[in-house]
Amino acid sequence: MKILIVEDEEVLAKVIQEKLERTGDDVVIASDGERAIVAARELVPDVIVLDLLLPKKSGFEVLKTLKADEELKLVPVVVVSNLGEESDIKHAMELGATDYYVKAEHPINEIIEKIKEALIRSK
Amino acid sequence: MTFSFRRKQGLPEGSFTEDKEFKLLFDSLLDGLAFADVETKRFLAVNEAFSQMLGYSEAELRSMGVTDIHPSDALPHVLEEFEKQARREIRIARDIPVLRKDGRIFYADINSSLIVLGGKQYLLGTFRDVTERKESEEAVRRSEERLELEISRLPIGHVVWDKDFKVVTWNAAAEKIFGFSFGEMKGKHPYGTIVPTAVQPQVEIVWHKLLQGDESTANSLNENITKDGRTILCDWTNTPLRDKDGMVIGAMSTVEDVTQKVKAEEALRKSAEELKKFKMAVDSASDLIMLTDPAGKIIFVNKNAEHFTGFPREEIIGKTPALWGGQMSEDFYQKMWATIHAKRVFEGQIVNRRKDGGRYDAELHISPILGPDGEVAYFLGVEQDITKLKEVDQAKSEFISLASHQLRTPITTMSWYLEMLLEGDAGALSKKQEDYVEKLYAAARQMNDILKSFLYVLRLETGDMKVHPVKMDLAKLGQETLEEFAVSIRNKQIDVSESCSGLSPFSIDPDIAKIILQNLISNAIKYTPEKGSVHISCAHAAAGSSVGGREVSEESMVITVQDSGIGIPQKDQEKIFTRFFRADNAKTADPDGNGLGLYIVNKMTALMKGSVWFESEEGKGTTFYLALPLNQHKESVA
Repeated sequence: MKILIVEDEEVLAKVIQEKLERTGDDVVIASDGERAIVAARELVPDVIVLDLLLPKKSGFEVLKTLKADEELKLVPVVVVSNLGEESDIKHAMELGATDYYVKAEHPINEIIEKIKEALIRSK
Repeated sequence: MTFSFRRKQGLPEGSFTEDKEFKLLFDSLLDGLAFADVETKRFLAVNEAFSQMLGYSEAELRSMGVTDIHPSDALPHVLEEFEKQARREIRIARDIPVLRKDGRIFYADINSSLIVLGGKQYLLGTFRDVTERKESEEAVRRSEERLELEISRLPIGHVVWDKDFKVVTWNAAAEKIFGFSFGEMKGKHPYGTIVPTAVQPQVEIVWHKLLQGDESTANSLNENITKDGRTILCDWTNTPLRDKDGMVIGAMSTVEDVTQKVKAEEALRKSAEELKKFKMAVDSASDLIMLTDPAGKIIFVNKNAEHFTGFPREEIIGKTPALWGGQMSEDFYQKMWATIHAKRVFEGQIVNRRKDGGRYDAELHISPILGPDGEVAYFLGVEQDITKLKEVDQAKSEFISLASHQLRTPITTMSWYLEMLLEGDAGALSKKQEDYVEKLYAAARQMNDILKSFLYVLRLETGDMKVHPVKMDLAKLGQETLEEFAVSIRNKQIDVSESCSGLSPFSIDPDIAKIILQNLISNAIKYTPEKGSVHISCAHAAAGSSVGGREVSEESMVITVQDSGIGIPQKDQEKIFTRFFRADNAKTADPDGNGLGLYIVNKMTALMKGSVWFESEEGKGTTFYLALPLNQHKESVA
């Protein structure tokens, strides 16, 4: 399975990458919004793990672009962000996010589990 | 008619040289003359004036006597006077009532001369009609009496003092004012009676000036005391009294009790002052304050209205607030009018337009003021400029957002890496290492909890938190929440039970409900000793039913969290929902708590229009009750 992780905090991206690679998935990390879109178009992943506060292009814009892309619009996007405001969650869900998780609220294993669930659902 | 004095009455000859001359003289006198026998009291002769005075003919009078021409009740006095005259003790009998033939009475002064003729005594009486004088004297007397009566009825006291400052006269009004009768005050000094000790020096000065004839202190306002001990305020007017040589022999005073008058004036002055203060306060208020008639026409606006709207006050008066309004939807204004016409208070945020076209945000508050008939008499409108407030709110929201992201990222990093260490991702840990890492992980979670609490409080206080009810299974919510505490429950061997199954889905905001339950369950577990019990139950409660010592006002879902824990000490129960408050025994049991949990529970419950309360006994346990009204939550979904 191909997974794109869009995350500017390298230490956090590494944790997710390590956990997912352990179960045999291909993981690509994009550390800003622009790279995220380029990588998504190149890779056409099975699932995208998306942070919201990103350099160059915000996660919301990335989400909007992805959902407007014929080839990518069906790829499930799991938002994993520390933005926890109701309005942020609502906005992301409206833009087409599959799930939304506040990082600090969940143990890493739970996040990994949710990503896997999204992968299964995307089949 | 002829005068046949001597002949007919047998008077001795030669007494009067010329009969005719005598008659002429006798008749020409304007005063009435009557010649009477002292012994028989019969008239021997009368003149024409006398005849006219009495209305009898001379002939008739010659057959009458003294006793026939006076009212019978006055007769004893008349005869006494007649005798006195006969004995020459008096010459004039004054004010003698005389009865005329026609029954009318007139008064006469009778001046008589005793004449002795032939050893017999006669009285020659000159009658002078004094009715007129008597009547005018009577009129004066009556008017004096009336005046006296009027004076006694006046509320103005009248007092005359001798030169030793002792009471000489003291009228009825003075009696009424001071309660002392004239008898009680006669010859008394005002000191020790009506002048309080404290006022004596002031009175002494006035009195000395009066004695010196100085009238500069003619008017004085001072306190007096009454017989029954009341202190009254009196207005005195004083004049020195002088003898014929100009020496001061005393003083005359008029006095009026002005206590009520002064009080009324004071009250009036105070209320005028209050009104002025009120107007100043209204004018200096930072809000726009207006008063309108029931149709919305503006009767009054404060000064700040000019600052808000840009319109001068005189342009606003008489217009409606539409002058600077009309920026909201038709719907908004309809709802506003419907509310205030229903005599309810309207509150809402409004955008208005200044005279220069600029816009401002305001919090609008309209209260109907009802008249005595219960109908709307006025509307009181207050606009609070919230442009600044909105900026502050914006800043707060930005801070919340920043804090949540910036602080959560390092917490997430710590937590995730510690989790990996614990899972052996970096190799197996020794027992001691595992113990240390677990402690670090717990601290990271605690940091996250504190941050979360702070964020909840900030969001609750900025009004950022909104309720979004959805239909959900309470039993599932309860079980999920309990699941989060599985480790603590297992470690403390707490007996947990839950009875929320079988209820139909209930509309509730799942996130807020979860936070409330997390806090209540977390407390129950935290403050319950090992092997204690925690029980969670849910039940419908009808309006008016009694739950946990309280009456539920409307049909509600009541969630109960009961524990066998340390309880809340009686003295702390009142403060338990206060921000940062922690009961003493709770501080001992868990030193790390932040005192925000129950504050958040209370605020969030209020946000859901519910109520939360508890029953607790120290050392035995606590039961929290959370009542959420069914109707309100049904409506929210629809």
